[in-house]
Amino acid sequence: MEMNENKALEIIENMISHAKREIKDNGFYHLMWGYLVFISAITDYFLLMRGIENHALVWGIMMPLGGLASFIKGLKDKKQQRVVSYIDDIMKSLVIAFVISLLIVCLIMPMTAKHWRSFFPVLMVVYAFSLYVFGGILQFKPLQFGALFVWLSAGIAFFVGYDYQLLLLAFAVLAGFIIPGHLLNLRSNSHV
Amino acid sequence: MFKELDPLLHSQLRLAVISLLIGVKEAEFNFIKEKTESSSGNLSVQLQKLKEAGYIEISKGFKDNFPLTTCKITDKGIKAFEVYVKAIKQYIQVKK
Repeated sequence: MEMNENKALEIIENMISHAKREIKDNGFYHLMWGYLVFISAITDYFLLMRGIENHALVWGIMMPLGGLASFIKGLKDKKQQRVVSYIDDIMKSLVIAFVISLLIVCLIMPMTAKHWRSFFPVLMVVYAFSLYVFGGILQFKPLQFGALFVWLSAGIAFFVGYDYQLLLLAFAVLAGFIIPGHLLNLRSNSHV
Repeated sequence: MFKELDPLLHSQLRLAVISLLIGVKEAEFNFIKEKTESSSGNLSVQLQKLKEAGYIEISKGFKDNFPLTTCKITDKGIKAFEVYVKAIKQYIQVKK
């Protein structure tokens, strides 16, 4: 086939769009963590309302479960990955920064009675920060709108008790993780 | 004055490979093969030519006990691609 300048442009455009299509996210992590935190927060709230002493135990079961599932999924994805984009590198840095921030909040804050009350609000601020950046990288507005709801919930949560903080957290993950996660999944399926 | 088109890039498959690699950090041989719809033999030959010109880097390793070839564009390759795109733009503008 003859190679002229129009054909060359067509090849360039075609290949660049192929590379672009590889940058996708099916919302798996958002959905999984969204539902896990939502179920944990609601369960914790109802157990607390019923006066059950170990009401927060649900977190100790659900969170390690999520961590294990994320680890397995991460390994599987790495095996299947055939191309590494520059965006993958930025995402990786964001995920590392998010996990380190999360670990500091989750491991250190509950140790001190003074900061325990701010645990969920600070956790939500960390969630919102990463959600907003993630939405920007993926150019996906629902994640950024979701982040605004999470920030709003965090702001209110500083002024209320543990019981209402749980409800605010459930609302925050619904708006910031579950709904955008389903929308991401829809977008991913329509971009085949 | 027309810029001369780089003969190394003015070939369908080599141009496709460079255009694909320009948008990613690195890509596996099978990914390039699939996207460029080329045969393994032809692709290997063209990748080797791009490598000899210093436009791409090829690294060989293993994944799940299977040989794995990964390609990455170099700074020289990026520069050559930019010059090539400028040149074809010039041709198209003159034709309009």
